[in-house]
Amino acid sequence: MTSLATLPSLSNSNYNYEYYPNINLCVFKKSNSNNDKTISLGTYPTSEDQRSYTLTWMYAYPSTSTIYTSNFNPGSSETKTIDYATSWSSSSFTKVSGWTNTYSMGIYRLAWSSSSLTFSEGSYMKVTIDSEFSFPYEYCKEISGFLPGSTLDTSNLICRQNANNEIMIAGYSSISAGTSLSITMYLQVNYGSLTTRYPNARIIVYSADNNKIIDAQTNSYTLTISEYGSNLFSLDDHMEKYISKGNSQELDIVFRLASHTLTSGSYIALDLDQWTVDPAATEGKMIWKYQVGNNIYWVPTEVTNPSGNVFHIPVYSNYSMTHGQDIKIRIYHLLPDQHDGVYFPADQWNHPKIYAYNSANTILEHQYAHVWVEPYHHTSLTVNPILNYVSAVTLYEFAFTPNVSASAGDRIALEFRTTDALEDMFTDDLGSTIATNSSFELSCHEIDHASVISDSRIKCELFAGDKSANPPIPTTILIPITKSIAANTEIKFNILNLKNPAKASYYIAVTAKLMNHCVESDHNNPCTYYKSTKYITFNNAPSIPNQHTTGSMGFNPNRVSATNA
Amino acid sequence: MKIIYYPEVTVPETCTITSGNGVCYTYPLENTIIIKSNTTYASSYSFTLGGMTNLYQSRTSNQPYTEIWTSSGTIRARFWTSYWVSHITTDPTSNNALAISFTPTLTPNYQLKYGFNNIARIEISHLLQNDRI
Repeated sequence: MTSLATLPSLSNSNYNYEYYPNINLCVFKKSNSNNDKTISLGTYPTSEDQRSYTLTWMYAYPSTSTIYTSNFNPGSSETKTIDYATSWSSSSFTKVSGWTNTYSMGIYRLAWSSSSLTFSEGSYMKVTIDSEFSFPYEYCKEISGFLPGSTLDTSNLICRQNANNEIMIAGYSSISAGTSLSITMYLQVNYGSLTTRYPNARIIVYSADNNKIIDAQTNSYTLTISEYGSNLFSLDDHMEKYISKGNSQELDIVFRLASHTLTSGSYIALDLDQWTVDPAATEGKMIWKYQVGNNIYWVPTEVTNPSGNVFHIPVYSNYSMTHGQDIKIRIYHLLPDQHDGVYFPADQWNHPKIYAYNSANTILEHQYAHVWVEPYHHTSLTVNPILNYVSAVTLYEFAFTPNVSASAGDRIALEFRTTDALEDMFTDDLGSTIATNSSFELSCHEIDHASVISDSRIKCELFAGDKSANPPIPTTILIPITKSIAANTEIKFNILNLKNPAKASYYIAVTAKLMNHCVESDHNNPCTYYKSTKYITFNNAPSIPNQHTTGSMGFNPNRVSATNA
Repeated sequence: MKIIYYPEVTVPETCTITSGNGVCYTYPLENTIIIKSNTTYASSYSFTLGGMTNLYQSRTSNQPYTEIWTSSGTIRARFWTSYWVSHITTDPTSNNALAISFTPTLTPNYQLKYGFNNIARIEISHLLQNDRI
């Protein structure tokens, strides 16, 4: 219960009162001889979050030290609880864009508001989306109603996947009652059959003391899945190089048919969206190849180009594409006129689409993918753990020189890979004890006090990763940028007490990103506009260093509580 | 060079090297100072930091320590170095002896009554203690 400064609302003519706010003690004195024993304190605001409180009663007559029993047990206390709220004043769950076939990805918007609750700086929100959806991208695309907090050192505005199906929003300034809040995010339908489902989201707001303020569901979204789509449609992980703007390369596309097997006469239509393929190969025909399941052989296939960047890949007799198996299509040229494979013209989201047709030209299944084309394969990031052996807790130095500018309000995100499915890498907490809100304030400085990121001391907030999530969530450190940074400016800073991985002689990735919060109508921007990855290794632990008591330290002046000159 | 300072005394927000060739960083959350040397030292060397706060009492336990980190990524050595600050016996600003004076005042509702055997008992202990000790 709130500690009351005064009791302005008390109104009872049968009692006089004295109030001692520092100890929350009320003393009531009967002002007449009637039998009224009712005391009303009036109306006051309760605590912002869920709290237990006690009331202790004493009852005595004046001019005596005897305490009498009454309706109250003297000296005993009664524990009550201010409970958290259980409903939002308004909420909605809608789709912004994208398909809703099985396993399709789209952009969705969640909006909510409370007409009576205030969410102070330091509180944080956890949004759990029903299992009909999963997150293909760990950051929210857009947030609205949240402004960066400026009072607390730990305030670092974030909207990021925190665990399987959970997003955490934190680091915002105080939100007044009635504020409309919303997040826009990438979601993938995690459902394989044709049906209608009604997923919603559960939003819990915790106070800075980790007590609940509200725990309530949003309105549901009507998810009507009327067509099949592949649960696998992606680029092969084992490409020779990154997909990057202005480059071309042979490309392997991997997909899986959800429920139909394609036989002779059927075909795959592949729409590469904004990516192009050299159509005028010297040999006069476009010959690609496909591989089904674990077959060791590839099937050459003569591809046609009916329009734009759409290509038809026929399925041949005795070489069916069986549903449920991984099918790989390799796009390449024997004698290209201009470039080999696929050309990537710009850094943007691209949405290649795949359609499975039968011989009667009927679409059986279709799916599309989100692929982010890097601005370039940038190699400027350096990562230097000062102690470079396994499990050491040490100072890390980071430096990179992006060829894009950054603006005040953008953020630096450092991502530490937690697992590659074979080996554990960085721990989820980087050696820190992360509180319930999944973040931890780290100490950091710009190297040489350069004041490139901020004119004041930079803030570094650690957000836990989750190596058990699918896909694994990297451990992330966010650093707000508070001033404009010109392109090709070196950004360098250090962070104290990060724990090295326990695995020696194994390449482990650290990624630096520049991010902003983009708008939901911008379908080509994933809010990360720069990225550079560095792979580092660690040595086996050396022997314990020598311990000494030599050397000297002195104080000037040499007395307690003095500040040295 | 990493210095873990006394846990009772917070390192300053800004690190100042008044002598020595290096760059200094303070980390108040961890009560740690990091000094990165700008040169290679083959023999004895020293750095002097300004703006540090001394202990609030003389003590010898929980000593701070210094680690020397090498450019090859290992700890060269850890130094537990004894040092001492003196407790004060005089006001540092005036050099006058420390003293406590009591001055009775008339506080409403709590004034002593005439004609009664009023007793005021005053206990003073832990004169050096404050919330940091």
